[in-house]
Amino acid sequence: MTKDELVERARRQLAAWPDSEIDLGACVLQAKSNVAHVVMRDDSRRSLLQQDYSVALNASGVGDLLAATGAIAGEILMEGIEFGAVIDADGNILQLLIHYHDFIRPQDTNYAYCCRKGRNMHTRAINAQVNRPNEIQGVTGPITITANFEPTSVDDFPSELEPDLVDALCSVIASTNAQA
Amino acid sequence: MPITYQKVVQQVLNELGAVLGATAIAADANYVAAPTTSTVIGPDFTPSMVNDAVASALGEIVEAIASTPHHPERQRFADVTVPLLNHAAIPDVGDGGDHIIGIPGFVRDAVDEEACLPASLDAIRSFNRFPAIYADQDPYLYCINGGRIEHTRTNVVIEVCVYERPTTFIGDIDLDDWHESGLVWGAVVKLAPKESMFADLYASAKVCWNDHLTEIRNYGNPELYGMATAAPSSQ
Repeated sequence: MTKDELVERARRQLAAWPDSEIDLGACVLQAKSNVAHVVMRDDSRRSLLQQDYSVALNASGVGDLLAATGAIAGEILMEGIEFGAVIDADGNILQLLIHYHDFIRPQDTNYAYCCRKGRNMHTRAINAQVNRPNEIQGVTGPITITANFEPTSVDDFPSELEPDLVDALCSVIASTNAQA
Repeated sequence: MPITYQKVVQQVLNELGAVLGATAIAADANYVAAPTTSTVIGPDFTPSMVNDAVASALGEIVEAIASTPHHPERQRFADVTVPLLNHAAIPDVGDGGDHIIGIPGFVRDAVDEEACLPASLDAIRSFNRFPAIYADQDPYLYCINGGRIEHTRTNVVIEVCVYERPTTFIGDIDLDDWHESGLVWGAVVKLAPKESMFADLYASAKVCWNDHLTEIRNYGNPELYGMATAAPSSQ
């Protein structure tokens, strides 16, 4: 489904006003975001908007998540990383630690770890004892993150999600009008 | 059979009692002949004067057609503008060089000929000022703002009516046949005030002339002509 088709479906569903093509088009961003987040939290449909991202690491084992690139153009969803997997270049599966204070304290050395901090992903190598933050060693990059994302283009939403997109766009417009 | 200048001019001369001939034979011969100063009673109503009056009436009929959105005879005077960029001034001549009259017809993309829909100036400016918001969207919208057109395409053309006053009064008149009586009454209205004795003629011709123009403009009434036939740009 193209963006034009999405807008047209919503227009027809809403029996919308003459200038609505532009109005609806401007709200597609919100509709895409809403659907991407709903799908991310939906166990049965999460994989529809998941893809692998390659993230380069600096010398400290830190990578910029917002610079991550995937096969399909789109914004990685930070929360979506929790539902996927993080694997380093050596094939180790990194354990995701939600809290940074867990990341910098001693942990079981049988695992490699990662933790989001700001827009960055911090990594911690396997088999390396850490007693204080400056002892952390990064993993071998780049890391591969399987994460949920929001496609940049409407065309890249799987067809299974098209009704959701139309409904989301109608809801955005309806709520906008309700506020007016 | 198309209406001709000669027929219309002769009818106008006849209404004004200007066909020369003391006998039926002479009058009929002058009536069917090409009008000249030898076939009319001068000097009030000569063929040249009647030609100009017919030209004036013809111009008003064409203007009424061109100003009526759904009129089927608009096609007879149809032309398009040159391709117009966003913000372009609407030209006063068509692509063929003749002057544009009446109201514009439908606006279409200059390349794929898709009709553009009228939209608010605000909507079109939003689209053009913030292309990132509308990336991957491809609307066909326009707005005429004073003498300029703003739109969401690369180039559009406007279908228009064009008209230039006739320079010769020989042959067919470029109108549908049913306008013949209207042309006659219109020309009579232009000429009858010249003589006070034609006050009654002027009054009745004026009524017929106005009725004819009203009939032309009624095509613009969707109640009479039907909205289904309306051009997309003129709803």
